[in-house]
Amino acid sequence: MPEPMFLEKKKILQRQDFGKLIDALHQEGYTIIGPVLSETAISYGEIQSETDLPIGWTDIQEAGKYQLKRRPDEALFGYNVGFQSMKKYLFPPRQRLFTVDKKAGRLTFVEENPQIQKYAFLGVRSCDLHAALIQDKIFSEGSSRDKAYVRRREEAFVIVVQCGQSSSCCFCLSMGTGPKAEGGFDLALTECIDRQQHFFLIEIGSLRGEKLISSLPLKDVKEEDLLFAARVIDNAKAQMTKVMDTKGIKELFYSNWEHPRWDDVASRCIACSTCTLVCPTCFCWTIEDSISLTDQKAERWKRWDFCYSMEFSHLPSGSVRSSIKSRYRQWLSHKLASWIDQFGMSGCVGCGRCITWCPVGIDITEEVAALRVQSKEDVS
Amino acid sequence: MDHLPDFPENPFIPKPFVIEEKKRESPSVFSLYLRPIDQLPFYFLPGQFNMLSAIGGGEAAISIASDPTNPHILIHTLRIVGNVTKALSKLDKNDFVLVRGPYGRGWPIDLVKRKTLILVAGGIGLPPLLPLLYIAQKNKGYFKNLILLYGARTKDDLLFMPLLYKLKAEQIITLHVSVDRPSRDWKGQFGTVTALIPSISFDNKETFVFSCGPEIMMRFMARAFIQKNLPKEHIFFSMERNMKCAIGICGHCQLSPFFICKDGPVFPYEKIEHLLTVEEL
Repeated sequence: MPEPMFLEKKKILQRQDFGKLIDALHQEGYTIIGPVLSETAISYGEIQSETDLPIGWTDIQEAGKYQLKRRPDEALFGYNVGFQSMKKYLFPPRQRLFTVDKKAGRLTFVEENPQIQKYAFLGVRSCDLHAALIQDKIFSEGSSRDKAYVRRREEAFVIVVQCGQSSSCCFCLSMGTGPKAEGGFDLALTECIDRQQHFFLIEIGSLRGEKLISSLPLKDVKEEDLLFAARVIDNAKAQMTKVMDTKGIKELFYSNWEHPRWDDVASRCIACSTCTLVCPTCFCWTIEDSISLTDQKAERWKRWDFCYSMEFSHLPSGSVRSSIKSRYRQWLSHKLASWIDQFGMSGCVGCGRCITWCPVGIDITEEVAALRVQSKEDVS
Repeated sequence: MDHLPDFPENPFIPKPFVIEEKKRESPSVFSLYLRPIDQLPFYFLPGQFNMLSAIGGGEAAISIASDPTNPHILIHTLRIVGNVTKALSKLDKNDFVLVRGPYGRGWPIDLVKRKTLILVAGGIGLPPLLPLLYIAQKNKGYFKNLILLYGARTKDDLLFMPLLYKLKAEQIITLHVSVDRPSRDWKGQFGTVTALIPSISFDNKETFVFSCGPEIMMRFMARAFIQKNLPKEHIFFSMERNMKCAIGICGHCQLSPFFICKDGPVFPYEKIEHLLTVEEL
């Protein structure tokens, strides 16, 4: 967790010394999770050395489209958000809750006490950091506190990489979640690269962060370095074309449950749940029991669940949401409207993943804009 | 006490109970009388629910049907409708049932003290109202009047009739029963339970309505009372949705801004009225 007094502390790390940052994390016992090049996309995976990073790669994203592309330079973090986020590490897709054993007429419960991996997340974007803060609100507060989540989160060392570019699906500016992270990290890097130089501006966000980089060969920051870094962020802002108008968005949804646009989007949506999988804030889960053949032992698991399935709202009388229209409406209205009532904040960070990875290219910013266009019935 | 959970602060570790008695209430409904293994009293508020499971058989949210003044025996009345209730129905005396709870906001019982309370129950909606009947039985005078309007599909689906007739004979409740489909031997009222409302007289200011049953029944019921000038804010619904966690973090039971499990299941009608008219919300 960040400590405000460190936020003004900045240092310079040269590109050729970047490997030493990875070494320092390994020395502290962290498993480093960062961007790796899989066959068709940049995903999250374990980083052993800097060569695991997608050096010199970028991507082109549009609604329903993702394509890798070579960059003209050798930037380490010159890509946009991939389909994964910290979510699958902090809130694993499947977790055993407990095992219960029935022996000699007695029950013994063994609570799952998972070994908490000490993760260092490298290359976290501002939108994803905000997504983690949203999940913190759900899983770390009050009587519903999830102990394992809280421990994973406390252990997690977060290294943000400030965005220097935007894809055509990014809209964090609209959601107030980026492109620059202002806090909530241990370290934040801004990658500064041109023909003459390649270095990282490091912002220190915590005591832990300050300690980690104390052994690295760092330089003091000069005025021109700050200007360079500011241009990097400005570039990300300038490239961001997608916009979502969030003014009165809760009321927009609450007063448009029967808007004809819901039928329109339902005719395109295939209820595949991909948007919920790639969304860094979607948190729904379900419970599954399994039992051994001898009936002596049973397990209870929690696993991610998706509001696009019929079972999600199942009742003895049938599914509450049996139409795709109602399920799409539930997902989007929850994310952008009722989330605000439930948790005091929007459930959307503007990362654009649901747009890029939607197999039929549904763009939530377009859906919101369409809801704002009054139907004929509304006008009368 | 090695059979007790090691991590009681984990909200998902259930507490084992033993079935002391199993009673059939109708062809598809049965009651489980449960005693906690640890012998500790189980306190709850009328209208709250528990998550119940047979070992390895999945969990379901089931309202508590027992007497709140007797915390040593926990009663649940279930209709066999799915895998979880079917697994529970196969259990017998001395078998274990896993319980976590109680959860949710129950009936606002302080609000109705010394007032006229009308209970409107449809089918399996009666059990969550039973704790209120037990309160009236144990604490005569708690309510000024207690009226029960109870409807079921057929005569065979009516539950707890001996108890209800007994309470009626003891003048603890005024009882109106109606069945949707009367058989030849049915001598009472028939039609929907909401049809009973116009004939009831009450003092608007001093009367409250608690209802549990199919959503459509509750909506028409509310409309009928409002037509008789009962203030909207005097009407309360107990809502049903799919529930997995019971503490508002699994997302299943959402009704727009509400998590039925923790914001309900009992809601002032006023608070949810606008949401109930939206189809498939």
